[in-house]
Amino acid sequence: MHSRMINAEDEELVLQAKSGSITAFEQLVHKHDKQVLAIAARYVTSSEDAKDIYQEVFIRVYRGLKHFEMKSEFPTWLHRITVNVCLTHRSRKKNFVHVPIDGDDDSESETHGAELHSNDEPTDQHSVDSEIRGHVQHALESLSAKQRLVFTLKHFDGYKLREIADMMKCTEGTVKRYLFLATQQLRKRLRVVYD
Amino acid sequence: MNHQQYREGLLLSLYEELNSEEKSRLDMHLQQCRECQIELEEWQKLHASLARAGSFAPDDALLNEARQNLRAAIRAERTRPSLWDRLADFASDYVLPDYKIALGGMTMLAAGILVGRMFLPSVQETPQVTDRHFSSALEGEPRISNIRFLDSDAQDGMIEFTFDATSPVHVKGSINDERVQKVLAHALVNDQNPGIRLRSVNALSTQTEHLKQPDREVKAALILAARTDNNPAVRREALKTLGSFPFDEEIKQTYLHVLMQDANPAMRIAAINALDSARMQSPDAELLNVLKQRMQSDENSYVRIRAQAVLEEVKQQ
Repeated sequence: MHSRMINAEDEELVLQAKSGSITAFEQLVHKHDKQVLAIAARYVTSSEDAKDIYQEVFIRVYRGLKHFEMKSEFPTWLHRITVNVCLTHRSRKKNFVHVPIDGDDDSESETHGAELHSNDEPTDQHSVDSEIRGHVQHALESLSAKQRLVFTLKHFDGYKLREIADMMKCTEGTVKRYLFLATQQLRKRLRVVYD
Repeated sequence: MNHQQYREGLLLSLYEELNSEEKSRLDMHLQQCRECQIELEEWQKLHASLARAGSFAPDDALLNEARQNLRAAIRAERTRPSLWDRLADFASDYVLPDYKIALGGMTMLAAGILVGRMFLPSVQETPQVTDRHFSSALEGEPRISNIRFLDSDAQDGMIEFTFDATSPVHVKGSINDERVQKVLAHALVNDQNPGIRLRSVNALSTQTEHLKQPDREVKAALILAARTDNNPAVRREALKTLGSFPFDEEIKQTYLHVLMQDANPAMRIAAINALDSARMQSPDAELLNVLKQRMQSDENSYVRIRAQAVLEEVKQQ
């Protein structure tokens, strides 16, 4: 019932936005953009990249709305665009610097983790977690674009495998393979943290 | 299932991607396979480490910044020439020199159609310019864009095309006229030029000072501008103008949003002052919480002092 109400609201906003209402478009953006930014921010390393992806996604939505026939739900369409933009962004920029997990540049990894995400009060526990965050971030960067996207969509965003397959336009088996390879790789790289 | 499939199954089980039958088969296998038990422990350790690293969720400041950038980009997008315009320019300049004369002729034809339309007695598309509420309205030269050729072959003497015609409209009317306000609200949300947005909000603010029932669209435009306009002067004026409206939950949420999210300390101070002036009957926990947070952690000392003063004041009510 609730979901149907949400869809009806989206549908109404999409129709208004298609007919040129910028207010309706902004309402659509504000309703769904947190999820888009979250996907982008988990996928890339810097806040600038995350904002680039966010902007590119909604510009594509803005341009594509007139061709959107509402055969799928708006969030499904939006997340497909997000996934495409993430993958092309990575392949276009290719600016991820891989630092070995046992490298000595921990300070950089911590700064990098702090750039995108809010921090709590400084405590011992916080500094340990922050160090782990840096290791995890580096480990994520070592994954291929698709492995990383599948992993972040599954692990952090909690999408079901079939939903990810739908967004990436591939089979569920392929998604499983990416997820398995990604977690194997993370396990190998993060063993130093948990052993 | 073979052993490799069980190993993959362990991971899928942690992500709750197995159905009940697969899950019970895996559980039975686990009871008798030491290798898989060790494997499961490894996955669990990995998950624990990932959990300690946090959710990597972006903060609200980043979201706010991204929204402001997007608004500017959308404004630019709206004024960008269409693909057809660019193709037509390209074609007329380089590809189709032989059609230059035809294109010129067609443009003249289009202009002629427009002039004809203006002199026809029923000008139904522009009722606003002849309405008595607009004391003076004059149309300027029409601008033709987006010419789309359905049939550009003039050999048979006939061509077919569509185009968009936009005309500048000169309006002199009462600021109390609802339609004037809607145009200003539209400019406030959509115009690319911050100066125009500022003048629009200034004009609206003079009108709304004594308004009991504000227009819904004007209020929505002011709220949007106060929250997201990338120009601080426009945000500030929009926030100030909202103060003339009857205080309600939407306006309160806007003040709280500005107080929590706006990077400009002058805006945060304006939001505190607006909340103070609103003189709420029963300050709620959300308001107290936001004021407390600002009092404790705002980087600007004056914001902290004002937040403390208003917090004490509302607590005494």
